Amino acid sequence: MKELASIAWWKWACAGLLIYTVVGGLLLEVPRLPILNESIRNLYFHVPMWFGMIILLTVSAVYSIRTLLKYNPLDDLKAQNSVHVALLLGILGIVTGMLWAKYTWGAYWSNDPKQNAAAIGLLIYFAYMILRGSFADEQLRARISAVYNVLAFALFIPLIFILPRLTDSLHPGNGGNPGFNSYDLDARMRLVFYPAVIAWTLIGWWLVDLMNRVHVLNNEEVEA
Amino acid sequence: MSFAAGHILTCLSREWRSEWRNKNTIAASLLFVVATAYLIYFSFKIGRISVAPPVWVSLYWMVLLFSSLSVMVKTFAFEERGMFYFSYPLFHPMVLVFSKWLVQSIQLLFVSGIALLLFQLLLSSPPEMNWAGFLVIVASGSIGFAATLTMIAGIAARAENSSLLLSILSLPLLLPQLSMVIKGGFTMAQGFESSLIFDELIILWGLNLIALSLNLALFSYIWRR
Repeated sequence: MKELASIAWWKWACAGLLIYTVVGGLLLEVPRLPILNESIRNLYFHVPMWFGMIILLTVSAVYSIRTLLKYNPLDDLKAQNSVHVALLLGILGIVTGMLWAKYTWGAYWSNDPKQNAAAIGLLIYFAYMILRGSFADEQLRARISAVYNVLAFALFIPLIFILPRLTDSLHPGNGGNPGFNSYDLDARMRLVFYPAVIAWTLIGWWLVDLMNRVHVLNNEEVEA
Repeated sequence: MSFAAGHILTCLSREWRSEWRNKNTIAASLLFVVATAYLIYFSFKIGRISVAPPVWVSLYWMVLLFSSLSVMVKTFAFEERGMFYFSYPLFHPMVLVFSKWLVQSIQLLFVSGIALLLFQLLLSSPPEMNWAGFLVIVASGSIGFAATLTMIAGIAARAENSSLLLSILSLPLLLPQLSMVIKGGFTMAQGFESSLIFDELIILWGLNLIALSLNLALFSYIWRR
């Protein structure tokens, strides 16, 4: 019992919200819409995963700026692990999106501007991991990869938010296709959607936290 | 260490002379442009295919993208050899990066002009091409590529295996700018009015300014010890 009580409150919240997202997301009533049918439930998985990814990338950019202002190995570690987990959420998001697209658009990949922007975004951050691997000096690695991370974030945001809106897209929210405000005006969906965003972001941050702690423990062992 | 116009001019002329002494780099990328343009010409001749306007535009930008990479590989060759200890106290980092960007822009503009001439010569250009609009896109694209690539070349120069890293890092990061120039290029190759690429130019210059301002703001962090 003592161990359970020592777990931080937000981790309890995260577990509860995730269980609610999965159970509620699969069982609660959703609007019946042509083509989308039950696949509309992907709104509870695909979309919040991308939200979580973008939030974690923002966190990472903030830690990178902190690293640039004053070098602290922990900030650099947090920036790195946030990108790792953001990439995990991004891959899960792109896979759930592709599965959804198969049943609603007819193909896993249909050269949609949003799909392309997503793929490019992931490539940009994979390159960040390659960059981190090519330094021997820890401080230099922290600083140079922080510079790259800031640049990547500054180019990633227009890529993902501005460019797809300028072209026709099959994606909900673009080119006359229903976005969230038209099909889930339905309050029932918001009831699961907003908790889902919080849940996926929190589990992402939980993972980052665990990775940071494992890294710190490993380094202590080496020093001892 | 000031922003005085004199400093910028001195730094510019120094950058220019150092590039001029290294004519090898620009010669190599010109050779690259000539060889690829000829290769494309040759492969289309074998297949007896005529080059459709969208293909012409995509091929042009692909050649330009890779020749820009080869131009930029040596941007920081001087600093890499430890010489930045010498140039660093002399000029403010912003002045230094600004002149680097300007010199590289001029080189890329030159290379893109040569590539355009070759493409015109070997792969007869789209007949309805709106040249004024296309040239504006080419110029804006080259200047933007120079801004993004100057920054990435600096990042790559501090790492090991920098020439490989330059292409790995810059290809995905150049894609937003590349998609704008290709999209605008298609519109111009089909002979539409120049006003139709206004949106693309605005976004392209937005991205160029983001890259340039981050370059100015973060350059000193790349080279500081």
